Amino acid sequence: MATPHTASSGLRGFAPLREQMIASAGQTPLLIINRSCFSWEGMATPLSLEHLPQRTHATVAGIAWDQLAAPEARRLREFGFDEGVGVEVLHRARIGGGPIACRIGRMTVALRRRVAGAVHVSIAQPAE
Amino acid sequence: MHAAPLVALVGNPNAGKSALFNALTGARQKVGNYPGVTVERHAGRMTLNDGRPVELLDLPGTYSLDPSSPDERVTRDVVTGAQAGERLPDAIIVVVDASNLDNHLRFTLQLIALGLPVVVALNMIDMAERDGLTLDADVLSRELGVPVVPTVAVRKRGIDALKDALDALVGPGAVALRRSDPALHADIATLQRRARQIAVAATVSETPARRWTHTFDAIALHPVFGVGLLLIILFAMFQAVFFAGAAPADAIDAGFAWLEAQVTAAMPDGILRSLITDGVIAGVGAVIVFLPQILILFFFILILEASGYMVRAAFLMDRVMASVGLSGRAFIPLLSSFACAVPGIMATRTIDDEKDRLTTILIAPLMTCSARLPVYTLIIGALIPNRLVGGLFGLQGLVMFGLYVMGVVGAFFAALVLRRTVTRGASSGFMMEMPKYQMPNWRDIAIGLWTRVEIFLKRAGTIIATTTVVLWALLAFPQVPKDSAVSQVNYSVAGRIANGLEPVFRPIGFNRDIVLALIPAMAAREVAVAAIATTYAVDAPEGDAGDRAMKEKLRANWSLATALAFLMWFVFAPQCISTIAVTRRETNGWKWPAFMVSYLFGLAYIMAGITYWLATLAGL
Repeated sequence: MATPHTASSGLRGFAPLREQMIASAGQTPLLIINRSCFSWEGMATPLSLEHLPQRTHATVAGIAWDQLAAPEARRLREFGFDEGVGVEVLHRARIGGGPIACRIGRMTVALRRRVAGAVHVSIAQPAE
Repeated sequence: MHAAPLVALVGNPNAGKSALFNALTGARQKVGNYPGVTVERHAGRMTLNDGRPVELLDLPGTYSLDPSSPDERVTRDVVTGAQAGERLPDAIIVVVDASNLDNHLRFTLQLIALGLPVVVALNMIDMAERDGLTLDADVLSRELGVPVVPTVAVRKRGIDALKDALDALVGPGAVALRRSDPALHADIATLQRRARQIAVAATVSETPARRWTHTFDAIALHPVFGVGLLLIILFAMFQAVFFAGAAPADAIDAGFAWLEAQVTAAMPDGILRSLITDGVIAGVGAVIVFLPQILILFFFILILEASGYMVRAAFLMDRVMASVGLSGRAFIPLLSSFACAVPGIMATRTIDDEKDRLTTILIAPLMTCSARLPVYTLIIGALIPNRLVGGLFGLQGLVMFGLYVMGVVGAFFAALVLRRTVTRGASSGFMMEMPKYQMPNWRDIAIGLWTRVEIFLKRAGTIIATTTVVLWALLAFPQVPKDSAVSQVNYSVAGRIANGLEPVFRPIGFNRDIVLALIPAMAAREVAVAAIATTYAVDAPEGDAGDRAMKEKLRANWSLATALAFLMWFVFAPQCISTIAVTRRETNGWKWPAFMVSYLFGLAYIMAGITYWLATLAGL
């Protein structure tokens, strides 16, 4: 069940991003090029919720629905995951890649890393 | 024409629905089951301010009308009038968490679109204020187009106002569903955006307040401190179930023994006396004796649930449980099963996913429950040499520990296999809302406890009591002739069954005495001790002298290989009708208990056989 990200769960920065780019098959090459420009236009940093540093305000940039099973996708929508919604990682169960707890809207929800990996976020300056 | 209008309570999970239900109905509630599914039907009576009675239905919490579990399907089917055996509600109370409006309003919009009369209970308004959120109920009411009543269900605030609003809704006149309303079929994201707009409009001010839930979570979810806290809580819980539960259970045992003695003294010897003492009293006693453990365990579980901690425990354990295809929610039920699988299996109700829940139920009997201890203690004490291994560990203790480990390993292995075969299916994974911590309401806990006890006594209790009487009959009939040298046990149906089964068990090292002891031990594992005593004609095996006599008999009649095989048998065999009865109750049919019994007996036979032959080959 080992995911390619397990080893990097404690790291932040380039390494997990690279791995994520490789891991997210089914994406268009154009997107990968975009992501490799680390500080794209200096405005937003695209990365997945799985690797979003703790306690960093971000917004949902997009969700790779095709990476999720139907019930997972439905529950994610029901939790209010949608483009432009504010999101923040609150806690990570670090031992062996356990789930993460994140704030979405006014709710706190627990997600497994694989699901969090399908949620793309951008660390933007808070619009609020 | 129905006597009382039907009103349904609907809302998201964690909106405080059950607390509101308790506040509205008090103790006047009835728990039943929807036909064909393991979903509880909670109904209660309430009285409106003008004295009119109303039947209130507490529907399972759900996020939308698009169900992903049997519970959620019931909710959808009831509010759309499609649920068999349930009439269409005359009105709906939508319960929303005031501090989580943008999410809860989305479901509210869907429910309003159904066309039934709706009143919204803006619940937990006090918590929202503590979070620095000021809301305008009138604006919310105007935006939604339905009455909105601020409530604090756990403090019983706003209940009268809610009843007033309901008063106006459940008047005469038939209601009809608006199946064509566009909002009913709207895309969830569209509804969500609309909900967010309304939430923003209804929010007067929002000042950032320090949320102590997050502060506490920093400890509770911490990889080190969080696990430490969980261990402390589990230790306290386990101690309470194991030890605090033991004294009342012993007292109940003693009480029934006293009752038996009274009846024995008062009645002439005969089949009727035997039926009453060994059948009926023993059967009812076998049911009641579980109550202390069930009460204590559920007291803890209900507090952990109501306080919001349960989800955190599941969060911490999810990784471990995921490795065998289960979710973090399976952890507490499995741990409880170390005390007793009966309350453990009942506790699986906290697992939302059906397949996860079923798998957890099927492996719960493999956790070494307290009823195995007397059997293990007797056999280990009699046949395992009391010497040190490596100068540090006692061999007897090591064997005992090995049996516990064997159970856990067996359970995890079984879960892995089951999850890939009979309970295969897309895992719903672990996606859960983590509610804010809150002080449990003791009245709600008490009502919850009573509900569990009632379910256990009514549904499982009847099966347990009946089977005990049947087992008694197997041992009591046919009656041995007066002048016969054969003992009653050997002469009985059970004795004859043992004769028939003996060839089956010979390959795994079990002699006829053992097979005979296994039959009454179907009632409960610890009965095996008494049964072995009976076959070897040892009186009072509980006493010191009896204990010594038992051990001598065992040493004389059993080889070490047989003893090890017997221990291994008890690790796996489902020798407990109560567990089987509870499984039937919790899975709503005989299919899964039948499967559980077969796979566990199969495993027990294979594992005991392997043990016997390995031990024999090793020259033991």
